[in-house]
Amino acid sequence: MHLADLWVRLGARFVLPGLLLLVGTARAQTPGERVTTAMVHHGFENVAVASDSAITTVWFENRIYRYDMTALGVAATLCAAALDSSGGVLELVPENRGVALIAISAPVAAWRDFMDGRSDAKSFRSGLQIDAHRRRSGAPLGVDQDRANRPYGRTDLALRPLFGFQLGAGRSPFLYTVQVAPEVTLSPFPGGLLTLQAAIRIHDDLDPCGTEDPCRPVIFPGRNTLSWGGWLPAGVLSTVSAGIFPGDRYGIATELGRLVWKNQLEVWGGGDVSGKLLFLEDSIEYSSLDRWAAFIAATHRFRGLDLETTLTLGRFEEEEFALKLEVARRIHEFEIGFFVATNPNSDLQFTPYEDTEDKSAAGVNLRFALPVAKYMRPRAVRPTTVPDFPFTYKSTVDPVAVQITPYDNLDRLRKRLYPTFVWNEIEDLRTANRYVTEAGGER
Amino acid sequence: MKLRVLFSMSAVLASLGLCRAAVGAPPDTLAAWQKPPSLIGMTGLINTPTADVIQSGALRLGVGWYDKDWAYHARGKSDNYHYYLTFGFVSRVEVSIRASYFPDDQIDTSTPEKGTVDRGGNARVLVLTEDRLRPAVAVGMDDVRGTRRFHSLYAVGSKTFVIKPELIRIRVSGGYAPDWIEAKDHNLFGGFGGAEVTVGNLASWAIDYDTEKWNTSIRLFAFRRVTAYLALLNFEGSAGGVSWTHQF
Repeated sequence: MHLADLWVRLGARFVLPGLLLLVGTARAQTPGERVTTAMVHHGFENVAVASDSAITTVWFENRIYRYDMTALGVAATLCAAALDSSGGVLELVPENRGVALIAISAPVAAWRDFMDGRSDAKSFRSGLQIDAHRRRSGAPLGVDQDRANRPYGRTDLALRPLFGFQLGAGRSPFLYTVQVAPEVTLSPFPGGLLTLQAAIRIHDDLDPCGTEDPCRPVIFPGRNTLSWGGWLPAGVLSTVSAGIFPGDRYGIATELGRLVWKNQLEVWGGGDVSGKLLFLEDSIEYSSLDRWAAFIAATHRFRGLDLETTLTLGRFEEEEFALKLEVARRIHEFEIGFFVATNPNSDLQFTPYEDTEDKSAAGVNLRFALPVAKYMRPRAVRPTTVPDFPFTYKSTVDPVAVQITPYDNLDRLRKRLYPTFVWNEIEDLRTANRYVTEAGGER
Repeated sequence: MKLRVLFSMSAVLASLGLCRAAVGAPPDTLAAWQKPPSLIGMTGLINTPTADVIQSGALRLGVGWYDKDWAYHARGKSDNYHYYLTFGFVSRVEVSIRASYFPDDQIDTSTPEKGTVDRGGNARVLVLTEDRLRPAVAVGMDDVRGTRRFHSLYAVGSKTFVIKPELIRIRVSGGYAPDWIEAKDHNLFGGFGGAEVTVGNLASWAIDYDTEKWNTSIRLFAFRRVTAYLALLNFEGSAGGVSWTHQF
């Protein structure tokens, strides 16, 4: 064999495969793959990308930004930077625990111009499509596709502050409780959320034995629940939560809801079956699952005004029929809602009603964002903080319209990403500019 | 008679050369912290409301304190502390919730235990905004439900006179509070009014007539968030407070 032939054969065996490998590597950088790489590198989870000639759809889950509008803005910036300038339409589908929540789409150029401040909210909204049930193509929100950076089994450790107070209960002008609650949360499977919490009592005026000689232990179980959320047929979103709930209750609670009428009205309902479970210093008091509540509700959210009105009626834990009206505003990450609940002394009562007068309660719900706006990237075990501090004050200790507080309810599953909220707070997408540059780099 | 006093006060202000001042509608352009609260937490003067509402989406937290000599509840026995949260719920609507504490008040005098509380909610709607000639007009109700220890139902009008743009402005208010709704106590009952002179973004001086007595106060603004104020009720009894305002 001639030496030249040997070189040719060697070339064929070693060099050509190497060249093909290089060509292959270059080919891997399709726009969709660039989007996946950028999103995963930034810390988003459950990332999937589907592209056709006109629309690039990106599914992702945010557990690194406290505010999901910020996360949407970051995702839009990263995706727009990774896509070609010709681009077509970019559709974002944020998820929570693998449950697709909403589809938000606009031309890539419109995303880019809005995020960079070259266009205003009005012109951006003109090309924006938001839907809670279907994608721009008409396909369902969710997709059965391989995901990059799956979140299941990753554990978050946090310290949750708990505070409650009551004015004018009995002769005491001011009663309050302060607790801190170490909390472990993880999503073991799609839609699932396991929460393990211990409450450490700092101050407790509401101890059943008084403050001098309290009968509650210093450390006792807090909210310990296994929850699931997901879509049912006909566009119904549902949650189920079982375990130990706040208010010394254990049991199971569920909610189901659907957005109707231009996504501005939510018809929803729920119920719970519960028993008492009280952890005392030297014993545990409990009752059988003998209480139940069931309610239906309608919530209206305006497009153009971040005001929501909820009317609830149902049968609550004291076996009473009650009506509840709440008017709330959700502005950015802040929420304030005033409510009034009444338990009219009427024939609608489910058991003989001994009180001669109607009972009513009024109060306020508040939700403040807590300081840390961006968390550590998700990992096997991650220390983190809780995103917000919810607080409810009710004018009376009378049990009016009382039910389990499941916490892992529809509202938490949706992460506030209602179509009306996204529309109203669209300017908040630009809060992403604190974290990413126009080219998709981190600040 | 009382209304006559109010009108004569306006006349005095006018005769001081204010008639040459620009008449405009600056309150609509003021930030939430530039519309300070009265001692019970609603936007106003000292004990009286004005036809102003805090901006939509603005939140105010604060406390107002009355010396027992001129306190509305348990007068002569206990100071009154009013803790409040006021919110611009939507455009033109201000709502407030209040928790009041009376440290030396007693439910049962046979026991040494002291201290009582009261809760209430207030609301105001701006009916007419101010324009070049027309005053702003608002209606409102304090202590809407329950025992109504601090109740008022009122209509009030306010007009601003800008003496020197962005430096000195005077806002004059007057209104009437009927006793149409049954209540344990009516804070306002009859004609009321007052005026406030604001100097830049630093301080203001206010005087008001609350249907019972004349009061005056000095308010200081800091950090575009905080308002601190000291008041003399009936020009003798002390009162004061501090509030923090945030626009969401």
